[in-house]
Amino acid sequence: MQFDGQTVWVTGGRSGIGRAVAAAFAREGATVYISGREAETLRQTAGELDGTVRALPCDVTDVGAVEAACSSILGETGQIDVLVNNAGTTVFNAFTESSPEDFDRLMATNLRGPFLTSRAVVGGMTERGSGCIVMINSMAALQVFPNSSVYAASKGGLKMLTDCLRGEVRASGVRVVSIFPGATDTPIWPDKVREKHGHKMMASDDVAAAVLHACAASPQVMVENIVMQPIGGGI
Amino acid sequence: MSLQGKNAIITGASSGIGKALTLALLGQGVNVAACARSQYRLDELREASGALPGTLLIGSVDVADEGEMHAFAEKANMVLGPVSIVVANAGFGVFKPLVEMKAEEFDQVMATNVRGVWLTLRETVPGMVERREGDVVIVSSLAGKNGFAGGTAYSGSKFAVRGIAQSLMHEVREHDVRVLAVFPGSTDTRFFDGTPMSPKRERILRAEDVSDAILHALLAPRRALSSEIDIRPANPR
Repeated sequence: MQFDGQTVWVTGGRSGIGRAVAAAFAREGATVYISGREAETLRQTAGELDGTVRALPCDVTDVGAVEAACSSILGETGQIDVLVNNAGTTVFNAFTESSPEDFDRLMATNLRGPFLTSRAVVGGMTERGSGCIVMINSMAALQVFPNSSVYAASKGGLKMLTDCLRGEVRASGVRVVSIFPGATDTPIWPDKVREKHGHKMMASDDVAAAVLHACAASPQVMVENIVMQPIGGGI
Repeated sequence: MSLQGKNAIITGASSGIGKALTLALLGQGVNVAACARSQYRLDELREASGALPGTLLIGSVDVADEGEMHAFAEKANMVLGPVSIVVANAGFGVFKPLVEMKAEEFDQVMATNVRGVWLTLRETVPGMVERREGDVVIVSSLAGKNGFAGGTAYSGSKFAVRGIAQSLMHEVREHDVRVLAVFPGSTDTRFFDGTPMSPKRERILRAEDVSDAILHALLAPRRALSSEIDIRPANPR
């Protein structure tokens, strides 16, 4: 199997794309840690997936919690080969309706979160000269969607954070990958939107396949960015 | 998803990424109409493809020549059947500062890299739209996202191709045709032969690395449309 013996940490692993990514890595032999804020549902997901999947409750916006989670994985497996920064949240609001609380919440999860987790793992990766950090970004970082200004700003920030991190670590052999999915049928959408448009969206498995492809490429290859969207067009 | 039995046209197929992808698709059971300018390198391609399951049709074609491209697409259609994969890969570079570059050199680069891509698509996409099935792959370059000294013609042409890809994607996705633009960094192909640029081979991509990425996108379920892939050497120690 492609990822036998490797350790993978997936944030936001309880549902949606994170769950599909965790399932796919576990199927390919990896030991997978899924993190999220809700311990109970996280354990439930870990129990439902085949292979070695462990629940690791962690709020990615909390620096102490992130460092503790990272240490706990390192204590059990010795190293982290792949980090998939998937935890994300959104709010659909006009700019004038967006509250400072929403702004802080989205920036915390979507931007500060990947900053903290990547910061925690990247030292070990550069020291070894290998490892893969994957950012589940969004089409919203590349294209204007009305009523998504705060979300788009957090994802646009994540894009530059990722590009700069890649520029700093590429010489060490560490790979940094961005995936920019368009509409994907996950719980990030309100139920009504999923009911009406879910069939036109991509499946979480499609995004997971792209993540695994990028991480499975030979060590001299860095798939830097994959932009993908449903063929069915805008939602 | 299986590609078995589909028909493809690939330009610039006799070397580098085009050759790697031609062999990869033939290996998947795809029938490939492969064109390039150099007949003897096409003959080499035929030899290399010997035992693979797909049928190979070769043609010596200048992609910038409307008549030649039209005739080749017609032939592919007649011999293999309707084409549902097209790979506009043929590319050409002249790398010189603007102050030293001749207008003819600029025209040559634009003819192959922009007009050639457009003609390749013009000959193949209408059939895909009509049948509501198809995959278009356009091989651009990281020079299509980043300019560099000596790249006014080449980088300019590769930026143009990104505009073609994005626009076409918006036109045809509603007809179930996917459009992917690939932006590879330095790749170990014949491309750098005879140019002053000579990257270290062990530090650049292999043509197969790029064709693997393209194949992965083609094999994805049809609901998932990868529109851009950037791929570069990881630059290990």
